[in-house]
Amino acid sequence: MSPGALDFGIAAIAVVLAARAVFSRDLFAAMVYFVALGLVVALLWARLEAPDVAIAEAAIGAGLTGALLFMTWRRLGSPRGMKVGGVAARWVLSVTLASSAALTALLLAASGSLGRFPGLAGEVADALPRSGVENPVTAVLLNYRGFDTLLEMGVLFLTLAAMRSLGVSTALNHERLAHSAVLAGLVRFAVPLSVLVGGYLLWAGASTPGGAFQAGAAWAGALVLMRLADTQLMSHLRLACSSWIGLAVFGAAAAAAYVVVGYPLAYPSGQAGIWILVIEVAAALSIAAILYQLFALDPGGKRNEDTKARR
Amino acid sequence: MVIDAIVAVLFAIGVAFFAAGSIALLRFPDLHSRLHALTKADNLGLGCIALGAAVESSDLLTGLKIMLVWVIVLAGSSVVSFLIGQRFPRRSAREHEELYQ
Repeated sequence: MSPGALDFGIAAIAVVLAARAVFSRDLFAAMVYFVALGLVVALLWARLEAPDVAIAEAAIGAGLTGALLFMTWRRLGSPRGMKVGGVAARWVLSVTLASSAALTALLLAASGSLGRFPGLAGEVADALPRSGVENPVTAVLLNYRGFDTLLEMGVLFLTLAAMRSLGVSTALNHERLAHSAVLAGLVRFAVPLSVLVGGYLLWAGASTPGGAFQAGAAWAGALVLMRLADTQLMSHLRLACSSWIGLAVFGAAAAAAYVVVGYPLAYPSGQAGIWILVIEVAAALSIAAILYQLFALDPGGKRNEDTKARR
Repeated sequence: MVIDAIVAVLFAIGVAFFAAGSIALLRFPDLHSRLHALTKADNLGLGCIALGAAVESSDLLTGLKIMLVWVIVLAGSSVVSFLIGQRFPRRSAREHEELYQ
């Protein structure tokens, strides 16, 4: 089988899984298809020689999103009032289908001109020696287009803020498995390993695929596992601090660069490496803390308490 | 040449176990039989493929890393199987017959 046939096969599987995730009547089946889709898409990214994206997709797209979906599903209770249909749903579906079709057409049209434009790979490679890192992906994320990444941290932080404003109890939710010595054994084995893997990904991001998002996802996975095993690692205060430290350090770096160099996020010449490292460590901590809290905080917990108080 | 043949055989065995495990997962009647089927895919299917990839890899360190992936997956999947089995205890033979007839 030629490599082209292999890629075509994987892509076809991805399309089928995506369709089943959307059109399954059974919510549980839809979630299983979605998680499987995440893994297949990660495989596609790997085939496209984009291991950075593949790691992030597998860890966040399939792993953590899957955990979030399953947790939400358990809390939905009886799937009876969740019937999909009606005029509004049909409108949403047709608008979504129309925009997806338009996007597909645009992408197809654009793919025809791929060969004519060399892209920015040359410029990225030329500036790489001055970027402070050796991995072009990290150079783009933290140096050339640092502003985008700063805004991404802002989006993550806003997500957590929005969730908390919906009446999240500060108490962590009770989504945990029965105490089990076997699970405790896995925690003792897997959590230190995840911390190590996250730390490696963070450090390796300077020269090979990896970086703050991949490291944060690995750490968040360790925190979720500890949560399920009912082991607490971080206090509420420490979690809260970790949630904003990434945005704070990134913002402070932008301000400091403005004072020193005269332009936000333009690192002083020759020192870019250390600036990027400091920002990435803080960002990875925040990403881990925020992703974990999306899983572990109790949405509607405060509302339930209020209802109880009113009674 | 010999190495290629060994790798091909290991991959073929691994794929066979994965296929058998997947078919069994779809066809077996109850949770515990399905868990049993899954362990075959994880232990032997992935084991043979990892071993094949390790033999194919250029140096010893890479090969050991690949085998480490298998060991970690084994640890994870065995704990998950145990937890699922514990959560849903085995039914008595009579209950089972009533359910699946």
